[in-house]
Amino acid sequence: MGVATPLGMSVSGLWSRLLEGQSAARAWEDLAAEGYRSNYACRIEGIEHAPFRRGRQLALLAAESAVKQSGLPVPKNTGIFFGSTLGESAAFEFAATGQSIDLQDHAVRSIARGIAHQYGVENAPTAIATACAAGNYAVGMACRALKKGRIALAIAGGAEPFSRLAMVGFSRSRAMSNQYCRPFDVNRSGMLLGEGAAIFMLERAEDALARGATPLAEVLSLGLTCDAYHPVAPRPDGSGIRRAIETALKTAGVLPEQIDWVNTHGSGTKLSDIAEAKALKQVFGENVPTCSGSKGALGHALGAASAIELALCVQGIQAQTLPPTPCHEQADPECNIPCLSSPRSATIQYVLNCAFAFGGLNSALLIRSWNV
Amino acid sequence: MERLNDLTRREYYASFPFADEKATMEAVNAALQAILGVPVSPDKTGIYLISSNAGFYSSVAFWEEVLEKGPGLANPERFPWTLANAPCGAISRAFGITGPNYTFHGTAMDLPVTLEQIDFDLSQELISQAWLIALDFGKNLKENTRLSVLVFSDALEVNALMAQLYRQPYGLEGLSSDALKKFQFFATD
Amino acid sequence: MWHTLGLWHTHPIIIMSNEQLIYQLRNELRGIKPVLPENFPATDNFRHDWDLDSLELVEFVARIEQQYNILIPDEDLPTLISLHAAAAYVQNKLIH
Repeated sequence: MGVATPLGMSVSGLWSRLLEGQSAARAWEDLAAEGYRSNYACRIEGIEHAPFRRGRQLALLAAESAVKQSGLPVPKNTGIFFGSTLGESAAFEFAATGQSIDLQDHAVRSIARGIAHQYGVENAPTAIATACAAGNYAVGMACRALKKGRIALAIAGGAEPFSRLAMVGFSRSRAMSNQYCRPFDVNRSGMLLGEGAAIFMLERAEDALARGATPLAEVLSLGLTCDAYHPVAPRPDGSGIRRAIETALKTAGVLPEQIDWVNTHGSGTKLSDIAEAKALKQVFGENVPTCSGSKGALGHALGAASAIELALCVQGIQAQTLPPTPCHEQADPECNIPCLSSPRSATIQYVLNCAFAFGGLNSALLIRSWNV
Repeated sequence: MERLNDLTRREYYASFPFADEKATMEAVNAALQAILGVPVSPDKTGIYLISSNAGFYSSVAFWEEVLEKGPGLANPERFPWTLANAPCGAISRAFGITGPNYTFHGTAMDLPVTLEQIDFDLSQELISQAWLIALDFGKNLKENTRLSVLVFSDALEVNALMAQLYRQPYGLEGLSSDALKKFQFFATD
Repeated sequence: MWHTLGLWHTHPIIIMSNEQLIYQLRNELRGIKPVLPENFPATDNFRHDWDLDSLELVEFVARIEQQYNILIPDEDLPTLISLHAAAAYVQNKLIH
């Protein structure tokens, strides 16, 4: 796996900063100068890229690390499953100025194609445009294709360049905090925008073992539901989220009590955190496992978010360590979600990665440690 | 509304004047209601939407508003519709469909992978019916939006279609142009 | 008329009766939610009486900000519960 995030361009760097409780959130002068009402965000500095190709560049940087770590050649018929929200949103902003640009060549699929082109993959890549849940979708779909036997190797993940369009949209929708994102905190006031990428190499377990490799983790199932409730607000009772988690558990034949850790969506908005908390209580009853959320540290990286958070889940399994939830300081009793303020060693086998998109798309990806 | 043959009564095609994604979805949902009725099991229905341009128009229009009014005063009204998955969400709300909801940025070339997901979801009994929807919005107010719908209730139907479309099962040489014309899915690249 | 004389030389004056303002705000809101009747009462609660949701409310607030060139911070949104309350808020902002 490989990542590109505001807290580090390597999984190990990102992980160690996360364990220290660091946050990349800060004020940005350029946003303030441009008249943004909230100018706090989590952005990656020092990335050079061609005009309107920031998303592609982030994806390629993450892919490079993933491919290198795997040590595998990338065959022509590799399956590529890639998720994003807007793709290269800067291109759409440019089009709005009245200048000519090929939007097809800058939307979600353009980044997927960039990955395909980089590695000489001839299969048409799959571009998944399910916003904040896209990373989970991408990995889950890759696994289905692998199981079917259609492909032997998959590259899956998500990327999202920093989007001014999203910055204004969330800010003017009053979903954005003025300073920090505080998941499940009684003083939370909204989300912060982030950016980044995370890419995974996936293959069937028997193939990995046959070549003497040890998998980092095993993907068990993906649960997907839709709230069918509102264009942006989640179903307040959390029932859609609950069903997504239950579907993931049931598909994998895993019981709630077996879950060691839930990586929450935890976007830090009043409504979303409450709905998620309700769902977790409905699934787990009195015994909600330790939860974590990284959006206080990294912001909400939209199409990359669930992919980056999956990388954290895998890393946590590798390190057998539960991470803290940066910027969560005072638990909201209405949510009552058990977050940590410092890292904790634990036996971690089963981990749920939850991610929910605008429009009420709920995803829960279930993974497990690889036990030889 | 034209009804195509083969897999009869479960393939539909329509086109309507484009307004913006939000307004057009009202017409799309009305059309879907007319041709599909209501889902038998809304919580076991999956929607698989392929679009080459969902969200494009609203994204540009939203940013035009931002350029005009500034980031501090722009109206957020269009923002939810800048997301490509907004149309699929609108369909789910119109019909109360709470099963899996997928949106792909793609064209007819994405049929194989989409069918693969439908095959999986049906085989695992995560759904009992799949609505495969191809939806290309008009690029401007003079162009029509095009809608194609295939409905599946059985993994065998999905596999039969895949075998029909491709030279070999799961072959990835690409779709034959005959097959494309037959299903009137939208343009390839 | 609201406090116009004292501010004559320091602020641009918008002279508007409360009735006029409520009329304008009602029109804006009906533009967002056309099901609202033409003369729905100014004291009706947006959420409880008319089921206005959070998205409709933020759109309304954005239009108010644009129309009257005022900035409404997040923490003030919960006070805008009716046309009457919104008008009072706007009047207050216009004076200061």
